[in-house]
Amino acid sequence: MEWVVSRRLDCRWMYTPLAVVHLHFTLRELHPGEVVELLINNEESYADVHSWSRMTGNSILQERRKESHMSILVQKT
Amino acid sequence: MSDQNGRRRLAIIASKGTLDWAYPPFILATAAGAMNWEVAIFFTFYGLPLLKKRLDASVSPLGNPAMPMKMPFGPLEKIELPVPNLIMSNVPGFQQMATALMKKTFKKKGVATIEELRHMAVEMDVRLIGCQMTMDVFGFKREDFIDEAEIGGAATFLEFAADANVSLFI
Repeated sequence: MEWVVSRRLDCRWMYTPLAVVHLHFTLRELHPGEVVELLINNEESYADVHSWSRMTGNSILQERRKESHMSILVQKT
Repeated sequence: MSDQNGRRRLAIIASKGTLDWAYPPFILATAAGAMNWEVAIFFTFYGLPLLKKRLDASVSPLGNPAMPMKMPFGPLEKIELPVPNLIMSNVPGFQQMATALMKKTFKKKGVATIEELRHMAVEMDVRLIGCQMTMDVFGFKREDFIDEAEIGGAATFLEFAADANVSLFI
């Protein structure tokens, strides 16, 4: 399924807690239902984003592992 | 436990002001803030200078044997350099050098600075409570601290911490 991405957030080369902090600030500016594409490249941020999603209720719609990074689509609830 | 809005609460006591120990309270506070938790940090004793307008936290390898001594760049980057305590304590400027190297390592690795994390915490409405008693004992003035800091005592913090889901002493 293809999603309409409202924002792209590049958090590659960032460490905890910056990925979820930037997600938090970005989602504050969006409306419910809008989607952010998050780019990360370390397992720590990956684990953080999943914990953050469980705690906040914002949904992870899709994950794509690429050679050098990972793309995660997050939807604001 | 949670506040009236159903949000979880994190209560942190920050009692250390060196560069390495400045990170945990701000990292945990911003991570919790990103998850919509209500957060307060009580800065007391040596943690209080972390609220100063101009941060000058440094790191001391002395008495910190677990601290890896590595160069952040160059051919020695991946090599552990065992430096005897005698040298660390007697060579002038060693602490400043260690602080500069740690800051460079953090920057190179993509770790936020303490100033950046503190700014993010402010943006998330994290309560930054400076200890009044520590202020008076060490001779700090209100104007030494950032405007967003509130000044309070143990009871101010405990009122918040009484309903905390997580309480940490750092």
